[in-house]
Order: sequence, then C-alpha cells, then structure tokens
Amino acid sequence: MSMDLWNNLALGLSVVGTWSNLAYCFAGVLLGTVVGVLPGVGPVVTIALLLPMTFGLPAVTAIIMLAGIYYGAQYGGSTTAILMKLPGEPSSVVTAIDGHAMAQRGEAGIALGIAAIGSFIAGTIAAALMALFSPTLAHFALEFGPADNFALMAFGLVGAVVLARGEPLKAIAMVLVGLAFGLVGTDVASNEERMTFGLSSLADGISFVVASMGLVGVSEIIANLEKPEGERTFQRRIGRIWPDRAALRAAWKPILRGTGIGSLFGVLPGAGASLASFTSYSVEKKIARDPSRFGNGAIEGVAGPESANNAAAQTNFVPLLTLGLPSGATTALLLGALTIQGIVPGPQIMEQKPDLFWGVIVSMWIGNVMLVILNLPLVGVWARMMQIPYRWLYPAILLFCAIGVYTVSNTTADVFLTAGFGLLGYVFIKLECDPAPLLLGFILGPLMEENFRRALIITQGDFHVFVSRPISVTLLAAATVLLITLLLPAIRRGREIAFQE
Amino acid sequence: MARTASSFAQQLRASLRQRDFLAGLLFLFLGAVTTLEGAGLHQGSAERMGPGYLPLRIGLLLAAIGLVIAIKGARGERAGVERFAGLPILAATAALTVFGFAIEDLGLIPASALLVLAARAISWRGRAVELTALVVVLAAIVVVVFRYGLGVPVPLWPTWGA
Repeated sequence: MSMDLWNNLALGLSVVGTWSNLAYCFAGVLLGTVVGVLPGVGPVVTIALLLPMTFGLPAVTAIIMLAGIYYGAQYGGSTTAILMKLPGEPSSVVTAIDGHAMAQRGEAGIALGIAAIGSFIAGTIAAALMALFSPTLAHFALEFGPADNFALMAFGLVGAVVLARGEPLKAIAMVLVGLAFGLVGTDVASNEERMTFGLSSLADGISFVVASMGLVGVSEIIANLEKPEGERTFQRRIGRIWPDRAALRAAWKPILRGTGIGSLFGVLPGAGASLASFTSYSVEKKIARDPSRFGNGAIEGVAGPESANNAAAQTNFVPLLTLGLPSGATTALLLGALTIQGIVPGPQIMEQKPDLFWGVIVSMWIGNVMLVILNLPLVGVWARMMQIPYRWLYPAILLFCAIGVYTVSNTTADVFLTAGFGLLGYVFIKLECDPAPLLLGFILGPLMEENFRRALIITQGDFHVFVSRPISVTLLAAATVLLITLLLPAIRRGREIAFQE
Repeated sequence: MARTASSFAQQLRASLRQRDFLAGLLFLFLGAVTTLEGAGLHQGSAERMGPGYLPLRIGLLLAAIGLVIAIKGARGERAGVERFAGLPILAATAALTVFGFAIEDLGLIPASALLVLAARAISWRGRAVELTALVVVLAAIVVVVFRYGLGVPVPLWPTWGA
C-alpha cells in the first residue's frame, strides 16, 4: 500500500517534472494571481477568463495549469481582501475583516505573509492527505451505479442550495433555472432538439464558458460600474512581510486547525472553501482568550481562515476528480473544462489516467511552492496593480470575455449570447439571487439526466433502484432531510445569523 | 368596485418594487417558457424518458416555486429592489455586440478597438491620449496572447477584397 503510494507520487512527479509542465504550472499560478489581484475580479471570473487559454493544451498540462490558475486566483483574492477590503468571493470575506484591520495598523505585509505561509502549509498537508485517502474513496466510488451517481449529484445540488447566500427558496429556483439551461440543445437519446427556439446556434446546447462568463463576469462589470469609483480604502504601506517570532507563535496553531477544518470541508460534496473559512474563523474566535480582538486585526483571524480556504480549495479536487462532483462555482468551471478536454471525472480516472490524477496531486504541491516564491517578493507589485483604475480594467475584462468566448466555439452567436447572460446575471444580482447554484445545476443537469435514464434502463423502469441500493438511498435520504430542515423556519433563522457573522 | 380596482393597482405598483416579488415573476416566466417548450415535445414515460419529459417537469416545478416566491414577496415587508443602472448595461452589452459583429469581417484588431471604445463610451473621464493608449495596449496584448500565443485562427485586419 505504502509502496503504491510512493510509486504513484513518483509517477506524478515524472509527469509534472517536465520543463513544459512546470512552465505551464508556473504560468497558471502567475496569471491566476495577476488577474485575481485586480479589484473587482474574483476567482470565479479569473478562472472563466483564463479557461480558453488552456483548451489548446494536452489534457494533463491543461489541468495542471488550471489548478495553478485556481490557487493563484484564490491567493490573489486574499490579497485584495487584505489590502482593499474587497473580498472577491465568499471564502475571503472573513479574511477581509481582520486582514484589512491589520493593514490599517500598518501590518499589511505580515497579514499577507501569514496568509501565504498558512496557505503553503495547508496546501502541503492537504496534498499529502489527498494522496493517502483518495484511492480509498475512489475504490469505494467504483461501487457506484447510475442510481448512486444520480443520488450523489442530487445531494450535491442540495448542498449548493444550503451554501447559497440569501433565501433558500430562491436558491432552489436558481438550481432549477440551471437545470433548464442545461437541457437546451439536442437530446442525446432521441436526437431531437429541445428548447432551442429554432435557433441553430443553440443546437449544440449552451456552452458553459458562455454561461459562466456572462453570469459572473459581464454581470459583475455592470454591477461594479454603477458604484462610484474612488470609494475604496486602499492601504499603501505594506511594511515587513516575513512575520516575526511572536506572530508565528500566535499563528501556527490556527494554521494547523484551519488546515484540518479545510481538508475536511473540502471533501464533503456541496461544502466548500467558503464554509471552511467561516468555520475556521468562528472556531478561532471561540477559543481565543480575548475574542474582542477579532475584527480589530487579530492575526489568528487571517491565519486560520486562509489556511482553511486553501486546504479546502485543494481537497475539493477529491470529489471533483473521483466522483465528478463540483462543490462550488469555481470547481464547477473546472469540471466543465475537464469535459471539454474529453476527460470524464469519476472513480475510474485513477486507473485509466493515473498520470493525470497523480500529476495533478503533485502539481498542487509544486503550485503551492511557486505561490510562496512568487508572492512574498512580489507583494509590492500586486499592491501597485490594485491601483489600476477600473475604467482601464473593465474594457480589458470585456475584451478577454469576448475573445475567450469566440475562440472556444468560433461562432459570433456565442458572443451575443454572452451579452444576454451578462444582462440576466445583472438582474440576478439586483434581485439578490446567488448564481452559484445555477452554475452547478447547469453543469450537473445533463449528467443527472443521463444517470437517471441509465438507472431506469438497467432495471427496466423499476424505480426501486433508487431506494434499494444502500448508497443511493442514504444520499437521497440525506438530501431530503437537508432540504426539509433548510425550509423549516427555526433552522433558517440560525443559518441567517451564521451567514451574517 | 372601482375602489378595489384602484387599490389593487396600487398594491401591484408597490409590489413591483419588491425584490422577491420580481424574482418570483422572473422564475415564473422562465418556468412557463420551459414548460411550454417541454410540453410540445414527445413525453415518453419515466422508464423511457422522451426529450420533453424533464423540461416539462422542471418547468412546472420552477413556475410553481416562482409563484410562491412572488406571493411571499408581494406580501412580506421585504427590501425593495435597487434601481437598474441603464448606462453600464448599455455599455457592456453594446461592447460585446459590436465585437461580435466586427470580429469576422473586420478582424481582431478593429474589433478589439471597437469593443474598448464602446465600453468606454459611458465614462469618457480621462483624456483622449489615455483612451488611445488603452486601445493600443489592449489590442497589442490580445494579438500577442491569442493570435501568436494561442494560435487562434482569426484575421487581424479586414478581409474584404482578399
């Protein structure tokens, strides 16, 4: 067993260790950080913008670069959260609280340094845990039949509803909208077109690049443009970056606790980086000797959540690669990218494409090393990049959206469709509907339909298959219970309080 | 009779400013469209789902949930909806549309320039020099990254006559 592990890691290292893969890993981390640092460009938008650049690459190289983009974007998001109090996504909301308070005290450098060190430690431990435990999980998942896969995805969708901001009922509706968008195109079984409204450009379905760029990229530009510029609080002074001994002593326990919390939450389908960082923050606050320091620049409030965030970002790949189940908008995008590369994630991936699986795991660790090397000396550069005025940035983002969408399909119809989705996404922002459940429904919808169909074809239409298989019935029961408790008023109030914290 | 009608109109006008009421209406609309599309297709049965099986059911469920959200939104004392920003919407959609029309006939460089100009049409702040520089720099980045870096087969300049 342990011999296997070393052999596998050696295989991964040999995959990543080529010059070109190392270069793409580095390019991914660099681009992810550079774009992620830009104000108003969160990790989801960063990944959506950079996705088209990976489509021409071989599959393994593409996913290594994508993973690099993903960590880079996450770290870039934390940098904007600390320096400008502009969290790009929910998972860095808590970092913004104490990180920015530290920055205002002139300790921006230490906050950034601790975030980088914490992320590195968390990333290393999480990669090791993944290498140890994902074979077991994949082995378990090999038992999954179509009915179990369907149940698992249903559970994942309910998880997305639980984690969505705002009214649960609206999140459920958003999942359904996503499922409906996912149906557009030619039905695989009957070869009939559905919901295409006679448009030939919709016959192949809506490209997920179009949907995600429009819904999260273009819509955010519109929303940002209506805010007056110049209201941001920017911290010019970075100060020293390498934390002193006292800071390290205060931070190492939160880093380890955050790593544990993050690794665990990342594996759960539906849960994700944001839940991990929220939990880590409240744990640190609860066990602190003086909780009143939190909110006023407590270093634990940066170290814990940032480590949790990064650990979860990484263990997210376990359900993604072994079960094909994304846990949030960012991993949903990665799943879409894998599909475009012709890779079907699932338990068989470790046997059929061991080079890909172990290459990704090893590249995670190498990506984290690069992140630290890149970020500690370059923090000053990032800080200067944040001062780029938005009136220069948004035309650039729109341009990259347009070209990105166009290069994926080579049709102008997709560019127009992106504008339409941008408009729709803006309406959703105004009506306070979180787009994450929609994206998840959009990507999982067609897979669920296929598994549902296959399950019933195998059993010749016997619905008992969903309740007679232990895995399926457990997951469906868990999903139902979760859904019911979510809609009960008492628990809802508790959830609202938790989200406000 | 007339009074109830006018108070209903008043109520409706008030509701139209309710965020959740509008969200519900939007879901109801999307659900209705999905339902209608699904109903026109072969249904099949659960064992052998036809192409219309899922659209019809997803659409109905979405419409029903939309209705519930709308009713709850109209009744409750929920937050109103913010104003929609007209100019930013126009700028973003116009920029993408212009690019879509220009890319194949005019080529990458003019299409990029037009996109940037359309996007910036609503915020002319800054001098003409700044805008020119922005157009030139962005077009250069795009050409280097997409045409030479990624090898996207798209003409750089207008192709008519060629």
